[in-house]
Amino acid sequence: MLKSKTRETIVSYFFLAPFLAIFASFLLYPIFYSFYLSFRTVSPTTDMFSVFTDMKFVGFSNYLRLLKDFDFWWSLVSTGYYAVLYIPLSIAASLMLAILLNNQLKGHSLFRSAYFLPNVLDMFVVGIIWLFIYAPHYGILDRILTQLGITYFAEKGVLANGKTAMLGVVAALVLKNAGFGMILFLSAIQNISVSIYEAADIDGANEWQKFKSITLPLVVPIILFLIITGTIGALNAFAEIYAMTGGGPQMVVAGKTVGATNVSGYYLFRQFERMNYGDAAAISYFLLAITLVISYINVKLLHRK
Amino acid sequence: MKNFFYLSLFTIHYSLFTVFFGCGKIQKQKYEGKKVITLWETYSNEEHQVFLDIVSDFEKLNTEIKVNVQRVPFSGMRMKLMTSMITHTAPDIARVDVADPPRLVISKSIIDITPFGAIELARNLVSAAVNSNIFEEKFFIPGSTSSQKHIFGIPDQTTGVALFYNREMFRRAGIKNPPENWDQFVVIAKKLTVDTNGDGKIDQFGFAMDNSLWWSFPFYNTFGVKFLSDDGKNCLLNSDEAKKCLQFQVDLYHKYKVEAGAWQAGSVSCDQGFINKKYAMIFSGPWNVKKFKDSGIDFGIALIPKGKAGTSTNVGGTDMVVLREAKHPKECYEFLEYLVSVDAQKKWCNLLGQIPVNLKAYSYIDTSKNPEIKVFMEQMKTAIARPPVIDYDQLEYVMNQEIYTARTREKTVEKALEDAVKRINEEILNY
Repeated sequence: MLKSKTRETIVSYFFLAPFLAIFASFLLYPIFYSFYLSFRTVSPTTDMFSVFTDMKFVGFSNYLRLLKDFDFWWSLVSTGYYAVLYIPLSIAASLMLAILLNNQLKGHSLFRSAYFLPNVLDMFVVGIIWLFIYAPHYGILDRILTQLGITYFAEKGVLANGKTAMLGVVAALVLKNAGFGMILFLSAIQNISVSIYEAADIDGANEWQKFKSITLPLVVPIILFLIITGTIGALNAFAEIYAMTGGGPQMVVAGKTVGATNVSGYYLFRQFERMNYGDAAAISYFLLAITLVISYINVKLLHRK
Repeated sequence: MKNFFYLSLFTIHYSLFTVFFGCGKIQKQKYEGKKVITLWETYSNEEHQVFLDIVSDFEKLNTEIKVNVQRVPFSGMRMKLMTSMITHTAPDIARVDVADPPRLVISKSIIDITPFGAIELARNLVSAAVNSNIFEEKFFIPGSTSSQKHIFGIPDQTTGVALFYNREMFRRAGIKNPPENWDQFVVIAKKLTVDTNGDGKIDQFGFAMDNSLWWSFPFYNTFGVKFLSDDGKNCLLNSDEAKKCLQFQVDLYHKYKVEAGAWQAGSVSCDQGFINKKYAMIFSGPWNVKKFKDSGIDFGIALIPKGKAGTSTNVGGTDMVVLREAKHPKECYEFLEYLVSVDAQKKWCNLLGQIPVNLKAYSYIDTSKNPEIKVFMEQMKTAIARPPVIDYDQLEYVMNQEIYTARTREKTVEKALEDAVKRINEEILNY
């Protein structure tokens, strides 16, 4: 007879087996296979029916080519710019919404649901809506601003201008995703003991002082969590760029033509789309290395806290 | 009791798992005794219905063959096809973009249908369409110098753009006829670019153009621009004709101020602006005729205005190719032969208002029902196929980037074209 603990372990593995099989097939295997691909190259003559045997081993040349590729470095710069805009703005918007909705006013549940709703919408749907808002000549934003005497967006709108395109994408994304951060902040704020605020009231603290000295320090774990997920999100950013700008508009930087919103996730997609699987795999491992470094720094910061 | 509970849970768990992965075999049993051809197509809803009719006609004539039609979204076809080849789940026949055959041929992914008599069949087809499927031996056999031609696919649909114009706007501006050349085009477009409500802002534009290379071909072709050297190794876009042509596109927006800026990211698209009566003239193709008619606008279609090289247009469309692992290649070819037969083309073009790919079907097209086909058929006579490069997508990508910087004046026309030539030579032609 098997011991009851051993039997439980075996039963547990039986239950886990379907998931583990799917995990191994669709996640674990592709991760290792991507690494293998990153040292190989698909040429136009590669036999697509026998990719495994027909791809040429090229050592580190995919990685070395990346280091010399201006477009790749530009995509990293764009990604950094995207992250610098997106992370603080999304945290600020989420926190602001959470504070505004942390009350028992009539209809507060409706507002919470309403602000969370865009988060469940598909990014492509949101992207198309914003395309109409940002469009030059006929877009709602341009119409309103023109009435106010601001004609800066009349000719190019928001997304055709290299200076404002990334900001436009980020603004749309912040408003879409703020609901998620709002829920996290709300739950954190509601867990703060009322007695702390009462003590602050007795000490004569005003609302700003209470926010700065009580609320903000106690929601720092949420802020750090949003920084980590925001950073990973920035390195994986794709759908919003694909839906709204296609990596454009084109602009000239250091004499080279580059896409103003050509972030690394979109750049990777372009390589994959061109069937440059080796290059795409090398980019993904490069991005993985960056993600690990940033996550490590963040974890250290969290640990110190 | 506890064991029974575990056993029940385990059974349910694995039954679901087995059902999830095991339902693929049911389909195969349905067509036993027949030669089944799996075909992936990317037609629109309307086209799909007519295509199924044609398939049904073919199956009635060939009772031993079953064509299993599967729809795939047009934009996802290339990726899905590549994945299916890697996983050995490719269909027997696939409908691919005209830009795809070079790579499929050189990677030996599709079969040479010359032995089935395809060259003979191709003689009856529109040359601009069928040429995207014809390759010389030296292209796909390493080390060969032979110019012997082989055919690897059959065009199932051919398209090209013409000039669509809003008749109502023309009447209001007192213009009787659409422009015949680019000089007339500018004059007419100026008359059609107006501030209709007097608020000081232009709200109706004479013309709207797309940014991409494919949509710009009518300009390049009418200006007589040659893209590649005869050996296909050098890009020739730094020619005087190319500079004049791109300068003209830039001028339409900046100098003549008749173009709406529809080529810019995030702008109102040409189709949408035409439907909304914001753009008086656009380039468009047969696939939009029904949509525009349904939207209720009064529009006409004319030939692309003449340039130094006369009128001309681009060539779009799709080809049907037989994949290398097709189980019944001969039967696949028989279906393709039927698809471009006069009977099938007659049905296809009269019901959908499209251009026939079979020249013999031209006389059977009822132009009284679809008068616009006449213009497209005329336009296609001078159409020029796109440059035959393996990585056409990258060519399009590079050109789109450089055209954009010229149109925004971030680069001069000369610099944009020089950079385009350099990049095309390095990244595409000699990669």
